[in-house]
Amino acid sequence: MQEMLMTLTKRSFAAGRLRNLIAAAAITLSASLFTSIISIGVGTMQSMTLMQQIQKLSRSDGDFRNMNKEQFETMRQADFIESAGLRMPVGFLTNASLHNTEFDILDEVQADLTFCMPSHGNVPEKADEIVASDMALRDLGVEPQVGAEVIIEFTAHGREYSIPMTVSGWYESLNDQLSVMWGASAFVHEHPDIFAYTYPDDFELAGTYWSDILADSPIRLQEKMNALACSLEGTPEHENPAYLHAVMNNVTHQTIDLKILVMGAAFILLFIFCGYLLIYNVFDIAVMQEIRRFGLYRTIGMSRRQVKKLMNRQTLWLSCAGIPLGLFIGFFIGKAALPDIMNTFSTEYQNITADVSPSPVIFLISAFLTALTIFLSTRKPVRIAADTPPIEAFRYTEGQSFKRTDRKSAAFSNISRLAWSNLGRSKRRSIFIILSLMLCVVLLNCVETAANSMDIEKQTAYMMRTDFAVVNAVSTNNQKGFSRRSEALSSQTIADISSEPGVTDGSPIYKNTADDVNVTYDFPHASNELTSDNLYLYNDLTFCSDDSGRVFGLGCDGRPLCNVYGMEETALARMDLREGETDAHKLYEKMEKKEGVLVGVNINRVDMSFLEIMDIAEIGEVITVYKNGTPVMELPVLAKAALNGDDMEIGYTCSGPNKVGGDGLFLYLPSDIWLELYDEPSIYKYSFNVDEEYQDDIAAFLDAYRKQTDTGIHYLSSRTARESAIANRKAIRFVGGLVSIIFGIAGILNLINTLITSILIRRHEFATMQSIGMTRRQLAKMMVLESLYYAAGACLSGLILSVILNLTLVRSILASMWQYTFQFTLLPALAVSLLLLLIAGIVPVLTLHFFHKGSIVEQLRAA
Amino acid sequence: MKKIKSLFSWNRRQSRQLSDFANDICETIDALMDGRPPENFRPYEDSQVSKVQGRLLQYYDRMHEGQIQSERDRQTLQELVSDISHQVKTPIANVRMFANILEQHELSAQKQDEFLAAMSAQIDKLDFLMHSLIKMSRLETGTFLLHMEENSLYHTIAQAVNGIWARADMKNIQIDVDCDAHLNVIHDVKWTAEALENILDNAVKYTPAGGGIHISVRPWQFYTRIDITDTGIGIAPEHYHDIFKRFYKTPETSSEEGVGLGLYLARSIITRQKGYISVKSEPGKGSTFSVFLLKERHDH
Amino acid sequence: MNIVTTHNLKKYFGKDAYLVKALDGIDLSIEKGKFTAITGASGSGKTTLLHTIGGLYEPTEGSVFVDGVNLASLTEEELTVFRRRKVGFIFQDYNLIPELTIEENILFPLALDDSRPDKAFFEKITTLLGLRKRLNDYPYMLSGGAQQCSAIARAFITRPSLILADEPTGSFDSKTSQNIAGLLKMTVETFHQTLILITHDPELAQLADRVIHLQNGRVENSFN
Repeated sequence: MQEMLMTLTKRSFAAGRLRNLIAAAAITLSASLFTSIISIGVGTMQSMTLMQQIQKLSRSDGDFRNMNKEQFETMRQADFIESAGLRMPVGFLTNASLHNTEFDILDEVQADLTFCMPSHGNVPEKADEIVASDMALRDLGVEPQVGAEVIIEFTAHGREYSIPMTVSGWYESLNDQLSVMWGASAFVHEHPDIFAYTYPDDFELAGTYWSDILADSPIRLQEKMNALACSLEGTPEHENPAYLHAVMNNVTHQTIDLKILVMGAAFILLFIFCGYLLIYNVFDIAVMQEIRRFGLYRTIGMSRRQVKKLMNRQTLWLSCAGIPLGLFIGFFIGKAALPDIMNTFSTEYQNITADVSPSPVIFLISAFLTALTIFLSTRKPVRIAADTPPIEAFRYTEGQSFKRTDRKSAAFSNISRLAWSNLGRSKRRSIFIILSLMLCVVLLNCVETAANSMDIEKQTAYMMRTDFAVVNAVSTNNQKGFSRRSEALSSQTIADISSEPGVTDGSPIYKNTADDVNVTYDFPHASNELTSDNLYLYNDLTFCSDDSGRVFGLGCDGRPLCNVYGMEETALARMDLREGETDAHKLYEKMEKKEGVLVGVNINRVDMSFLEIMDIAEIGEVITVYKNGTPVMELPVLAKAALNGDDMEIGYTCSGPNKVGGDGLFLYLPSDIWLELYDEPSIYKYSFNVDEEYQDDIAAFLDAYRKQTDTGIHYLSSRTARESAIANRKAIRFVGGLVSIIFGIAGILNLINTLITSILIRRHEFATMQSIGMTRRQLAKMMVLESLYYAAGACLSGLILSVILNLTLVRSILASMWQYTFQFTLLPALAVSLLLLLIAGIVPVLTLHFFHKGSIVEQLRAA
Repeated sequence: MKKIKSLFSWNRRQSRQLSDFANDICETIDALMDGRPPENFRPYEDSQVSKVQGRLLQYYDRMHEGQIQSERDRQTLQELVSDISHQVKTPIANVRMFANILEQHELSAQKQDEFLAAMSAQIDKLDFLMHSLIKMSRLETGTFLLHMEENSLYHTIAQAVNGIWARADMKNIQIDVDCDAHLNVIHDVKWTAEALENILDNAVKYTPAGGGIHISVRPWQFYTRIDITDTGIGIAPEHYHDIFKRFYKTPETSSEEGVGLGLYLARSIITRQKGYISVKSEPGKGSTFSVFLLKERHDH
Repeated sequence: MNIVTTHNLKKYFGKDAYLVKALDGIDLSIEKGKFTAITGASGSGKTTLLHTIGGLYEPTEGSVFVDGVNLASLTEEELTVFRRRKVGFIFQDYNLIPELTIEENILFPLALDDSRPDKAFFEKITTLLGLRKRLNDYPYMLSGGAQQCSAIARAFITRPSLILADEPTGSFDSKTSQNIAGLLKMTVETFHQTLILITHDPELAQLADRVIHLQNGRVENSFN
């Protein structure tokens, strides 16, 4: 007889079509919320990983290097390795000029793992066939084309080779600096002498076997790889002839940042909360509407368990419809929103296409979270339905009508008082509504205050001192930075730019590089604190750190290199001179006469004061300039300037100085003095202003120029600097706004639920009131008032709390961050309050319209 | 192997449960046979045992009730006998008295006739009483057969009206009948006529001279309704129930002749046919007796 | 033999100034197999009494014994099973489940108890109540009277010890009302059921074997 229960479940399910639609929609919505956020999360991670893999030029799980043939053959048989590529390094081409081209012999697995499968043409097969990147080919002087002939030159085993090759295929280089050119294994047979294995004797790489691998699982991979390396009689010691490199690819297997994890968890909790409210409310209202039916079920002997079963089964069906749909919709929403969201949060990833693949993990997690949310949110409504006192089936009869008559007559005279007296009916829910609406108001106001207080001008000013600045692309990359002579701007580029109409105040900025190791400086701090104890190598340069952790790049003679800039007076005049000679013109004149030097000091961005730890040279101190180990100048410190990003490198990047002079000193000299000191004039930046009407033209010119003429440059304008600051503000608004909107929706949903519940429960009461002369209008008025009391309470407390929080918490938090200048505002709170009040006014009218229909008699009967 | 083992243990558990169930039921039956309440009975447990036990108890009660019923019937019969003896006492005493008077006293022929007439009236009453009692006893003990057949209700009503026509005419009471002559209803003609006659007789009795009796028949969804409306003295609502009791006479009507069996018999007859009688009245203005005859035939 | 016994049964609603004594000390015995009508003005407590006997209300004071079991001793779940097996409810507005056919509605209480329906009994009761042709219809397709007949059949299907009817004819015109009442009475008699019927109509009450009149939560008079 269990079928009967099933029949009832089925048919009552089919009967409540609209209700089911709403419930399924709620489930779909929550499922799509989860799926989209998880798709975005996974997509961001995938894209970031891919970007880093491209930078590393490998998407493998790990790699082995420096093996001989036997070791390689044994290695590729290891049970944890799913596939292993083969790479036989030959060496860098010596006839390449700007682009570094490494010539290797690869198999297809290896080529695929290291992003060098040809996109045009075929993989090499014959001994004289190669595949190379477009950049490498152009560098060798041929257009990337299948069939093109190139001569490659390289050195192996101390012998120079020059071999003509044919291009069998090519690919677009993913890296400006480096790409791999590869040939077929036939090449090995053709030139066995190149591949003689001599590594243990002379560390010659040509002849060794390398391999990028894919493993069956990332768990304890490094341990397995180490064990394998040991079993091959290799050692992880660098200098040992038996050195066998076996390293897991830490880009493919990144440890997830705790901060991101916490943020993700917080968002998921928030969404669970949001979904909970949504689904809970829909089910709660459904149960409330059907309470008589459940009363009837209970009266004729349906047990709690049976009611629960009925409800749960219907929920299951709804889930079966809602979850897959939500997963589907959510995935595509996430996919569509991913690029925008990645752009909002960061400008770093613009180069790669952000995308997400429909991984089962996304769907499994989303489905699980949705199911969890549904379980959590239907538990109570189901319990309410199951616990329905059977007497609910008889609501119309005596008993119940006793209680209410008296109270009403006392309060009936005054509709607003009646509305007021209704508020307390469900204390917990009233508090919840007011709290969530209040949080919505407060949060929105705090976020808006923060976004408003974000000082765009301050940030722009920090990033840029001129309208435009042109640099080598490495300067705009946080991980690189200008550190080599080869990265200097060409004079042609500068001439082209300066001849553009509208360009004024142009000044090339010279900067010493890691190649200028023959010019060094001595100053009191350096001679007192630097010892040879804390030396280390970085970027082919020796660095030395003092006791406080300041680092200094050292030249040939062991003295600091410093970061030395040379510039025109127009450029110097723009700097923020703080101490000593603060008149830029006089200072420049003095410096021209070699009477001294300007020292720049890093600042505390919050209050723009000198950073004490970086303030290591006093006015009047003498700095001795050495060239090739002999002192050539003695320059006393004439003035000190506060540095911003533009003074050090550009924007927020100062990776270049870090790779040359390190933390000190920052010295600024007139151009001709600088040129006198340094052998090669390396210009790292050309900064200039542009007349207002030419701003767009110049931007367009530069965009075109760096695409067509000089692909190595990049530029920053005060406008793009401002835009990037504004993007930060947008990110704050986005996250904060989202959170507060969720609270707002939660509050409104609960308000709606409360009103509907109140209408359903009090149908009889309402009908009674109507029957004794309350008009529908008055009834609506009463409900509107009731709803407005909630909203007004929430808004009022929200406004008060906003003022308090703004002046205390928000203010103190913002004060600690340099990007912000606190500005008090209450407008967002007022605006959102107004909106909430408006909604609170409309909602009861709508709910009355939908849930309080029919004649008075019907209402009396049905209640 | 493991599978077989678990299957085996599952089987064992199954048969264990079954034997537990059987034992529980047997215990219950033993208890019921000995006439003591079963010990292991938890009446409202949501379990199979409790369900079967409940049913068993219900069956036991039903059987037990049969005994009680026959006991009750015996009692009813006893009451009937005492009622009869009580009712018969007076007329017999009267007859005996008249007989004694006639025997022991020299009376004038006129006086003799008077006494003989009185005696004859008592004998008539006795006769009427006897008939009523016989009918009643047959109804009470269920020893009569109903011949349920589809017959014209109009004829049955006419038969009933015939029985009281003369008396009504004497009191100048108008009788009109509103009945479709072609209306056929399943009923026992003889007994239904008897019941209707009893009601009509009652109506004639309590309707003052010059009044009227209206009989109307309306076919309903489940029942055929026969309304007998008089313009008599009426019945107070609190006595609706009493008038159908044996030998019941309202204080106001005690002066009228009759023994108070008519309506009792009428109701018994109609009830036996799965119909029912209800009454509605406004004291002083008249009463309506409604006889409901079930339309469809139900054999039980 | 008594199926229902109450001792000093009291049921109060509200408190303090709003205290309403719906039942104020009722001692009652209802005989098995009899048709008992409870009458009284509205607010006299008749529905409350019915609900208390049916285990829907917990009495404020006193006790209710049904079939020898004190309802106060039962748990909520046991009360549910009690209602399922021992009590058949008939409501003023039928309360049929709109999504089930008449047949399914009637058999529903059996389904809840996981019982197989007794086919002969089902046939008998549906024939008696004139429902044979309507079994596959949905409630909305039937007249009010036929719906109430279905509700009566549903109440009887479990062969309960007690049928509780709350103004079962309350929403009908007098003609249908008489029809339903007659059928109810006949069904009760056919199956030897105990019926407790609430009505404010003395015309219906006279069909009962016994009438109990309530006033202000007390038994005013009771006659056979």
